Amino acid sequence: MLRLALDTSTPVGSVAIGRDAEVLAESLLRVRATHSEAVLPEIDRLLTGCGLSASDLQGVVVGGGPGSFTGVRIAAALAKGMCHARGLELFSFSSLAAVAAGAGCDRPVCAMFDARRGQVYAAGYRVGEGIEELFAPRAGPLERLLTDIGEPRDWSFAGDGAGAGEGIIRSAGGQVLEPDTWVPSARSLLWLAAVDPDQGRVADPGSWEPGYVRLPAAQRDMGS
Amino acid sequence: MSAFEIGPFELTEPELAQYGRDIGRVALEAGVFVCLYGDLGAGKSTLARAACRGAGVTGPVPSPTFTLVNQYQGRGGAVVQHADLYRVETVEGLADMGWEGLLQSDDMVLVEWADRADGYLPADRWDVRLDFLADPARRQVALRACGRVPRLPAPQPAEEDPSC
Repeated sequence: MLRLALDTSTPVGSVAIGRDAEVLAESLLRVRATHSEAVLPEIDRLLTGCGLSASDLQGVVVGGGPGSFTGVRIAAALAKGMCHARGLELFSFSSLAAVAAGAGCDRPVCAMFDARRGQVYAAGYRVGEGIEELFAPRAGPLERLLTDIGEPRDWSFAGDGAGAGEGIIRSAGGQVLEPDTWVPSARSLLWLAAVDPDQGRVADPGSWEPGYVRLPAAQRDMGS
Repeated sequence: MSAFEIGPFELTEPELAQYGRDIGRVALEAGVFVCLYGDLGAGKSTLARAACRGAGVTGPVPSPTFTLVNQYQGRGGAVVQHADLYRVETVEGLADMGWEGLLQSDDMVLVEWADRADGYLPADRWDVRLDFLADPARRQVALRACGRVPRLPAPQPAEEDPSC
């Protein structure tokens, strides 16, 4: 299946065209503020470079967050719009799963995005021939996450949240993967859709919403 | 989450305004995210306005109920962001009003009706809860410092300040 994949949930956006798991073209886009203007022309450029047009596409794979509210919504709106207009199949995977899938690591991977002001978004995966979710995307302070996952030394950490918390993770015994693995890449989304299409398939793209991750109730506030 | 609680204190309006100025002074320095909770009329706006004064804002401090976020310039050119979530009802509404920009800034941020952002508040913040008391001239103020933020100041005896 010929798919377009995109993720704009972090400051480095990513767009790719692929046939199943085979990547035909991929592009990374720096700077969150320009995602909204940059993504569509980039899709067009990649398609043209592959000698394809939008009418050749059969599916769209979107990184469904968590991450920047604005960024997550840009990719989600684009993906839903294209699926609606062209009758394409929609697939969605967590942007954290995309990081784990691209980490090239056979240990459990904790993918983390920096949510700022003391908070990270995180999820745990084991990646082999497919991907297994060890814990679902959640939000919270890094220290609490490290306590909750049990033994940090059994995990490898990736994503810009792991970068921001590198000192804390290392002192807890965790391994932080190289920065070139931190981006939720569109090629990883293509791979996820190829190896596990059923998990990502969105039955009703019109009503689908990306995953804004809330804090669990126990961590909430004196106002509630 | 590490949390350090102080209060509750029972403060008159001038004492509340004075305390707000003290909070604003410290919050500006470290770019603290300050969440305000309490019913209509409990004193959130009084406290927020005073905090802006304490942060060195000299111009008008109008309510952000309809603008959702107001930005002011505080001491030394630092930015003070003043948000009111009363009219924000969904996570999409939160995203649309620029919530993320507030989280990602290093500015001092004041958020009235912060309970509307339940689940999307930062780990590093001050919570300030205002409640009515039987004595209508006083308000109860309870505070909590969460995560990596400076210590909250304690209320000092009131001084009169006509600007608040």
